[in-house]
Amino acid sequence: MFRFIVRRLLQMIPILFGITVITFIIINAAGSPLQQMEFNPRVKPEDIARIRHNLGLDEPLWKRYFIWVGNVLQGDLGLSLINFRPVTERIREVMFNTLLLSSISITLSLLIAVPLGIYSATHRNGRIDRISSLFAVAGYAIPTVWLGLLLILLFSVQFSKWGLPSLPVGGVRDLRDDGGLGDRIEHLILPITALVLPQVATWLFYIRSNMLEVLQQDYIRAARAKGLRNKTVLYGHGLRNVLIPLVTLFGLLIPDIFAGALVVENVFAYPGMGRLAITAIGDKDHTLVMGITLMFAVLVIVGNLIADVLYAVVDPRIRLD
Amino acid sequence: MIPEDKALSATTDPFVGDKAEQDSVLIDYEGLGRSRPIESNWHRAWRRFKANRVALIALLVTIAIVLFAILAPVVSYITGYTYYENHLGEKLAAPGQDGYILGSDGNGRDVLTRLAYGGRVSLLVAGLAVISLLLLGGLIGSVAGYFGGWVDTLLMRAADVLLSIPTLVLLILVSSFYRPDPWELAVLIALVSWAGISRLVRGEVISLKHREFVDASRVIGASNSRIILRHLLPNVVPILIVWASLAVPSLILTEATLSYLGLGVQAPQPSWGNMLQEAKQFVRQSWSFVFIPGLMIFITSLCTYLVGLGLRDALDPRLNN
Repeated sequence: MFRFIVRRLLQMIPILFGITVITFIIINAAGSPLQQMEFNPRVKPEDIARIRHNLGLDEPLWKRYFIWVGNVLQGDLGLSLINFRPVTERIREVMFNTLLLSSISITLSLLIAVPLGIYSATHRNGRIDRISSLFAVAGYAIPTVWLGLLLILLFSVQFSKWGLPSLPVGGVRDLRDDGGLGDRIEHLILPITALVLPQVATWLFYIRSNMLEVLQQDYIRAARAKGLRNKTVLYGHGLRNVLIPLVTLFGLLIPDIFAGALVVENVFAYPGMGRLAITAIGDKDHTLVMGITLMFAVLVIVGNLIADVLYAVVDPRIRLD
Repeated sequence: MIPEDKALSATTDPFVGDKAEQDSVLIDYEGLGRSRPIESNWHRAWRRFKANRVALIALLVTIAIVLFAILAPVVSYITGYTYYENHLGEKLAAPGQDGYILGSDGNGRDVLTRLAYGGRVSLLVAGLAVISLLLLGGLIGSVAGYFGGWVDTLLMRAADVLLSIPTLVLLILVSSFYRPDPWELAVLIALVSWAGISRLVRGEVISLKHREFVDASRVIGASNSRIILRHLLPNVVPILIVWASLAVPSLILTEATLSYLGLGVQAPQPSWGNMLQEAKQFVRQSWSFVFIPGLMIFITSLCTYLVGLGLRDALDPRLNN
């Protein structure tokens, strides 16, 4: 297992290298950060030249790239252009919130989708199956933004108008009294619902169709023929085989899950990496935007690594070394 | 019954034998005992699609929405409002109030008229993005699959890199310094998300390129570009159609999300996404203003998705017979 993980980590190096190249190219296509000064008649040209030299902007592009990558490798993502605090520090403050949001939503949506998908497949064309298929199609097509706004509209705005207990519109905790765990959970309910519903829809679709395919296989008939209990057949033989494509899907969905978190954070003013990214763009804080892009990419890669390890766990035919 | 030896001799060695022999092959082919003319693939697909009532209704609704957007000036004429004209005395009118059929927005602009014009942007971006993705992804995928070797390695590693950064994050990175118009936005989306479709095309091309008909055309001196364009790509078309029709809903959602985050089309030009963004601040005052643009996005992505699913079922070669 250890050797496998090390090998996968080594395979990530070229991908990470590519990510830094792309980020660097895109951000340099934005033009020089000194552009505004150049158009300012009060700034002397020799001052601009001095600043450019001090910032290293007079170096050729490839050299600047290697200087930057060298710093990134040492864990230095530069200073935020807005308040000159280290980018790593600003990201670290909010990263936990994003990870919390995404991990809870993944767990919850799997807990809902796996049993429901299996039930739909075994009771094909039954009432539950039809409802859940309808739900799967609708959940794929619904805009996350709108879903979030509808939840706010119903559970925050209308509930408080009707005098029912309402949920907070956004944020991560009540600002008046620094509430405890209950308050934190209250603030998580709506964002997580907005993330979970579309995710459940996606999982449901795949679990159901894969389960239907698996149930037609010979080994299921063999398992039934030798008189195994229905539960053993479904969960021991059926689900085990459905898990394999599911893990592949998990790896593919990771970027979508983080993108979803990004959107939801902005709808609910939830202080996470996605919210920070949009704020940073508004501030034209290029170093921070670059740092967040890199962090998102690293999170996706780590997620894929987890998926690879899980792959070997659920499928004993895959040998790790 | 099937004159296999004759057919074989006719195809492998067309210059041997006289004309009568070749004619007899043709005659034999006609005389295979078919009771009706062979149905072309496209006819069969259309017959299957027509039988799927849900997909047919979804197609009609999609056409209606496209017409609604194309005929935006007519909508504007009927409602008597333009999409940019403010009526500051009549802000946030409820649907039906003061002659605003679907209400008015925070600047007193008619929501129905803005929906029609906003639909132009959303549909234009999604449509153009799908076309540019097909061109770009089709080209990259077929070149990588056909030539193999280092070209393949290079292009597919680039695809890996793109897949490990969430598309939304990349788009945000680009829009942090660049405000695209709808055409540029579509090209941008294509530039950052060609990885998935190109992998699909590559896989198909690899499975096709060692078939006899490719060898045959190479033997008679066809160039690489002719083989790719005339022999390989037409075989990938059904898969491309299914992929494209399933990509449209997600592109509509992507555009809406970008506009919602303030990174797409800029006000006063409406798009469904930036209407939602504007509506968010009035979530306590007007439910209809939040509800309607999102519903429009939802219906459009839902219908295009259902059409896509219908097309997939109609074109899926595994379901033949």
